[in-house]
Amino acid sequence: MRFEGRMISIGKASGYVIKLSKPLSFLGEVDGCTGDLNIIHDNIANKILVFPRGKGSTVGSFVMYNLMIHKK
Amino acid sequence: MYESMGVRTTCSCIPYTGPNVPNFGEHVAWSESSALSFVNSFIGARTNREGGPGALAAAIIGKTANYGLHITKNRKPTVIINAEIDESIFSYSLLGQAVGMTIGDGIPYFCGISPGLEEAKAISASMAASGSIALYHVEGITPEASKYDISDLETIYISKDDLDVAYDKLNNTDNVQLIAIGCPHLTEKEMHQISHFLKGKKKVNKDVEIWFCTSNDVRKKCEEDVRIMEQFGRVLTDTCMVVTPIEESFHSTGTNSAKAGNYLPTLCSQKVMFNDLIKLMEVVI
Repeated sequence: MRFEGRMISIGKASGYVIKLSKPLSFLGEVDGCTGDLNIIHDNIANKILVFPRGKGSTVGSFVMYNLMIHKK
Repeated sequence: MYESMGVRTTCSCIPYTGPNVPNFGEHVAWSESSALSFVNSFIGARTNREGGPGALAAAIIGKTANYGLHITKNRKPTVIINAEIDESIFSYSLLGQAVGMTIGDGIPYFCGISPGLEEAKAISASMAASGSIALYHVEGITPEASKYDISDLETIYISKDDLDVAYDKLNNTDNVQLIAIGCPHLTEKEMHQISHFLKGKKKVNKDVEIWFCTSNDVRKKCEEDVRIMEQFGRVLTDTCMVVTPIEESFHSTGTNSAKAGNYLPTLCSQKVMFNDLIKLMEVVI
């Protein structure tokens, strides 16, 4: 499968892909400490997350920061 | 620390009602999805959907990256939204929910509505919660609405059925333990309206707690309103029902805010009753 996205940072990665069909709000839908998703039963830690676009709170950026702090 | 650097601090999601409001065309870097949509749309300042860290970085260096909604051609409407609603805050919140669910992102151009500040606050918040809309135009109302050629745009009609779908999406209980009003924070005008409605009434149902959320500045200016509102519940400042761990005390919350209706289930494990302020107050009076 091939996805086109918007590049923010240069790099290469490989891993297990979680593909969401709906837009994602990191705030409320991703646990910043564990990487757990609460919209489906899965965890994004050390995986490649594919989603059509973001939605919702700009506090989502802090959730991403939290994921990084917790090495998820 | 920030105050010692000369930063004026306010813990409110409606900073655009305070003393430091950008001008039309000015480039800013705002976070808070509802506030940045308001300032883009209703004031005509220019910002992308920044997160807190990006906004803070921009504040420190006094610059922000020149892309996205800072550039005029990217501010052109992408779809026309035709809707007929009554003029209540709740209806604007519901319409925003429906539009966010229908188009997700893009720049809607509204016909047939006439939002004032409070209504724009509500629709900005709900479109940014149900979707990721950071800018909209309203025919005859917002400052950039007449600047763009919209003749080639598709028109989406938001029907009563669409509003019902949005309403059903956010409503999943008939019983509430808490009623939380003020998402985004109540303005002075809303404080006056609520106290006017509550004056002379009595809270009969003591089992339901009520929170009115606003900023410290607004509360200070509304002493008489606060006196009446506190006969019914708490007037909380510089916080709200979404950023508080209410799940430790409550399982179900009533709100007139679609934004709160989106986040209460996921952030605070709440069942939600989403309805007009007066209908919510009928639960307790």
